[in-house]
Amino acid sequence: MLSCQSLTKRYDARVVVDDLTLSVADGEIYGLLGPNGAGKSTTIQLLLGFVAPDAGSRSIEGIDVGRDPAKARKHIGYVPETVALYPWLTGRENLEFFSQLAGHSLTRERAIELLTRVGVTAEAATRRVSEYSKGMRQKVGIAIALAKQARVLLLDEPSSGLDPEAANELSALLRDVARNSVTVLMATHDLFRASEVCDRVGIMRHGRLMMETDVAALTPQALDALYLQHIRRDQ
Amino acid sequence: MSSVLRAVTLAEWRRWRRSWLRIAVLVLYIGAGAYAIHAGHRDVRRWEAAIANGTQREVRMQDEVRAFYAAAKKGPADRPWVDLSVGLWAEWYTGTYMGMRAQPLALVARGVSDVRGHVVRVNRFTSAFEVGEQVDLGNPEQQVIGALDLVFVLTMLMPLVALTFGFDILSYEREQGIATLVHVQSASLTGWFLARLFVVAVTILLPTLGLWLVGAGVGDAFAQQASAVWQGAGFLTLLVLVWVSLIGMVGAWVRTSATSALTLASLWVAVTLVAPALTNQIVNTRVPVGYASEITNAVQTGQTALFKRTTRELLPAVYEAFPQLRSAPYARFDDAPDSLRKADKDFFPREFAEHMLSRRAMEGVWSREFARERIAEFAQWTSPTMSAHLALTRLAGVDAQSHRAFEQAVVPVVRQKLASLLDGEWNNRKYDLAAYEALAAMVPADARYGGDMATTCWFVLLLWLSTSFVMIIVGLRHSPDTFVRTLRSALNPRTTKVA
Amino acid sequence: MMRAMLRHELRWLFRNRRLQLLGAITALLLIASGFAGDRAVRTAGRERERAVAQARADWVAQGPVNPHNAAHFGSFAFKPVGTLAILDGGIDAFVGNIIRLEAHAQNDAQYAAASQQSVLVRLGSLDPALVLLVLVPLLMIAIGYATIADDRENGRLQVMVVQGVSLPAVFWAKTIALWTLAMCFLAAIGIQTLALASQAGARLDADVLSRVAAMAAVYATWLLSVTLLVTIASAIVRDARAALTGLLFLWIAAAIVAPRIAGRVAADRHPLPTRSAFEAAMREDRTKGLNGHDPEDARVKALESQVLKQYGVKDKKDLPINFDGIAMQKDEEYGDAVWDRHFGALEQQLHAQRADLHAVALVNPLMAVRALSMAIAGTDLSHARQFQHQAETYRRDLIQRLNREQAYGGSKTDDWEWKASASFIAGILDFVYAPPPLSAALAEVKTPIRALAGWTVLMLLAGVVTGTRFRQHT
Repeated sequence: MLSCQSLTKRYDARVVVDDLTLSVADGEIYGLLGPNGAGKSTTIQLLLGFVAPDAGSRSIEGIDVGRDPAKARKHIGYVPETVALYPWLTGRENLEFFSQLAGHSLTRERAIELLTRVGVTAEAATRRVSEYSKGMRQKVGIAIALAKQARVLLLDEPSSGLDPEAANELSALLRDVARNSVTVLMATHDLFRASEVCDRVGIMRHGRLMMETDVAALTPQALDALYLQHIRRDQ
Repeated sequence: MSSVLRAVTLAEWRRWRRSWLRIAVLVLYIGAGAYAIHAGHRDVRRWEAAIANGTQREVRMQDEVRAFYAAAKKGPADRPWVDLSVGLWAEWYTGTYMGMRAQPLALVARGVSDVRGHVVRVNRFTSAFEVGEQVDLGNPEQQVIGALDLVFVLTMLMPLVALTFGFDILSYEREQGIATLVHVQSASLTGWFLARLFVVAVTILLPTLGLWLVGAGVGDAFAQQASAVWQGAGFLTLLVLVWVSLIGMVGAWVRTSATSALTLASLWVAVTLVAPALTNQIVNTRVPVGYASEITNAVQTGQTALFKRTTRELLPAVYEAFPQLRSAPYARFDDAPDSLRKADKDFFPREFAEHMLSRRAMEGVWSREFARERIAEFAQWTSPTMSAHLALTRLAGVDAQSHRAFEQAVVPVVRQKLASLLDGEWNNRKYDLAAYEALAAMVPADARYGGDMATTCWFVLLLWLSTSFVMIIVGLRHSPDTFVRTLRSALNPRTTKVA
Repeated sequence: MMRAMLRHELRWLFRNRRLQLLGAITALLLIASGFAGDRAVRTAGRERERAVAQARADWVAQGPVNPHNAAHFGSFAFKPVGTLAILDGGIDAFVGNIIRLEAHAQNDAQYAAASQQSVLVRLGSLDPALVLLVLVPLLMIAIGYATIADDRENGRLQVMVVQGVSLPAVFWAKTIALWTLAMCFLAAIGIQTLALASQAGARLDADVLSRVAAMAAVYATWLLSVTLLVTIASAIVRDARAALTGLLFLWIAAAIVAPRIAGRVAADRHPLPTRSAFEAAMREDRTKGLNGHDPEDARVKALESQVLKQYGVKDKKDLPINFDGIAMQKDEEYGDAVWDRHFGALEQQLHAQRADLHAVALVNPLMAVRALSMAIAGTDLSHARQFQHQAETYRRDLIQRLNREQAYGGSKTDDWEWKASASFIAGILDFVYAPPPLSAALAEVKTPIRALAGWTVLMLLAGVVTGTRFRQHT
């Protein structure tokens, strides 16, 4: 699980994350919605421990990220918006490398199995990443997170730039992952995907969490309206 | 940490074997080193041949003279004026040469060995200048280009090879966005970074040490100069670490690989080309070589002494320069036997005076050389390349200090010969075989000079290593953005706020 | 449109922070090296004047002296340091600037600066030539490697084309802007050199001015080739990073590695004899006769007979002249012939090595520029050999005059106490070195001239082709 308590971050005079409090339970998929500049990516950076907050705290699996970021990151799998991999290595070699960095050595078979699970064929796994599409890189990124046996999965705009088929595959994969009690937090402005895959969503605007709600009870149109209502509040 | 190291090693191996550029650079590096060893070995053989020529001539002449003594002959039949029982001719026909032998490690560097002499005929006329006149024939247009020797390969090309393998460590990841993933996956970005540097260091160290040890083997240095070989190996290890550390320092601070490449290239240019060139310019300005006035004046003064002055005229100048000679029996002209006072026997005292005055002049030259070296030794703190050059050429015995030691060794030998001849004249000695052998034996066997290493060089490299290592740690803890913001706020606290 | 592009490029260049920093450092090094070179030339000039005066004083102070003693006393030839050594020290550090002139011996130039310095002398000295040849090109690479690649990667190039700018206009505007930057450095050092030289009182005669102009032309051409190479690389290589990597490797290969390899290979292909072997061969020829069957004493005996017959006497003592003078002159001439033969062979090897290095200039234009720069500055091997030849010619004249005075000046054979007058000694003028004109200097470096011209034409053609065809998009 992950949680934030009154998390605040400023850059110069601008408040980027403003008194954010949220928590995501094990097995839950939480969608952090908001327009560009809402503070979603910064929230993820705070949870990863790469950025220090000006106030508040955050924890991953009960570990205070501020006190021991390295220990906290051991439980985190992270899939950035653009999964950047080493182009001269194959998909399998990238997976093996990043897994080994995390202290998890993978056999060749296990690597292929993981890649297959996320939708990268065995043949594609032997090709260099320079030949991969964005969707395939995304899948390798998820495989890296899975190989780590992370308890928390953070995704930043995972469906950005994906075609509909790839996006559907991603949604199915996330549901599958969450079934294994993995906590998933997904920052996105793709309302449709959020309504499809998330259990709960939170809407951020100007760094503030405007509201949280269960998605199950909402239709996609209702979620749209709710989102627009909170985004346009001052207008 | 071990899993990180394994991961990095495997990933780097995969990268490099797919990079034709890196393979080519490594192959060229090793190839250049091998060629340099081969060329250096030929240079040393040429050096030794020059000494052997002198030795052969010496042996031939002495065998001939021994035969004359054995047959109770005065000298060669076609030179009736030669009388080997007289000191003047006995000395001339010793035909002795004094050589500076090459250190076993001499093949690793040319140093100044091609612009200074290695062998000189030693007779009573010899001055230390004459060693300088026995420089081997060479092409100055090649000399000014610079030598392709192993020290050049290991101190100037090695950093470029290291750059090729490591210039984009972290900067590439930052540029491409991989850094975050690396940071998330590994327990510590610092650990990953150091593992990358370690792999680069090992990759460069292996061929570097390999070339050094092969060179040492070719020169038979393990048997004769083992301590110097291992000192050199240790020093080169430190040098590789310095450069890898510098690469890491730049990588920790810059954001893009292009900037990293340019910064490292500029750094290499600064410490490898500009710093030494600037040092030489400073040396030339502060202690110019000029027109060797000390030498030319001394030569002419010596010539004047030989042809124009009498001993009586010369001795006051000699006593002023060397007060201790007032009590030397062969310099007390007024007490000399009548035979010595006659004009045609005035030879030895005048030659002695010429020798002493030329030695004085040469000491002036040497002290100016020493002053130039002091500037270079001070300047080496600004450049690990300069320090490496000074260290390794000294180990190889091809530096200026080693050659000067040889030139300085010639002087007392000549003096000893002159003193013996003067003494012989004083006592009217007749030279037989035994006296001749004693005269010939005054010239010592060919010796080696240099072959050690100053401790300063180690401290220079340690300073560079520690400074760059500290900068790595600081750089990794602060992102470039934070550093720039901190710097700006420090420079202008009123206008810039730091988060 | 081209003018607008050029103005834009120049504005970008001079606002570029990297250029400002690196350019300032390079300019500082260039100016400092110019001042240092000037100081070295002036110091050398003063020292030379002192040395010449001292040598003259020593010579004249001999007073009445036996001519053969004077021949052994000898003198020195001191090579002057040319004005343009401010720009390019060339081989001066490795070649002595003093030749001892004496009887029975042809000496090399001695006491080279490199023989009295630390090993760092091998790493070069900071003169303007080094900066222009090696550092300014590196600066241009640093500034220009992304000049087209960046615009392409960021999509700006396509926007420019849509706005109506032609590809050649883009290419040539960037090339000219970069070259203009390089010319600023060249102009700065040119003005500094002329100013310093005239301040020092150097004669800025037609030869010096034409050498300065030639030097400027060589470096301007060189920097144009470099500029074109950088711009072409930026235009055709797939991305800026690859362009930078490629250019840096080329620079390292051309400036650092290739010259040394070329020098070593040339030395291996045309090895010089060791000094001991050279001197042993000369000794052998002198004592045993040039053809192995004309030993020294036989030559002397033959000469004696000839002279006795000429004067109609039976004994040397009866000659009205001094046979010793004649014999010594003949011996001197014989030694000169031996030296000419062996030194000539040595020079042929040196020329062969030089030809190899010049041939390499056909593939490495940096070596062509280096050769031309040294030739124009008067600091190359040709000038050193010229000095040696002129000094040797003077020496032969000097010794001949002394020997003739010994023979015909009034003394008799075996009269070694006889002295020539002080006025005769003082009447022998000093050696004066006449440096070759620029045309003669350039005649020695025809291959490098062709190489540089060829490379420039090649780069221009490549630029013309590239300028019309490079990719607008990634």
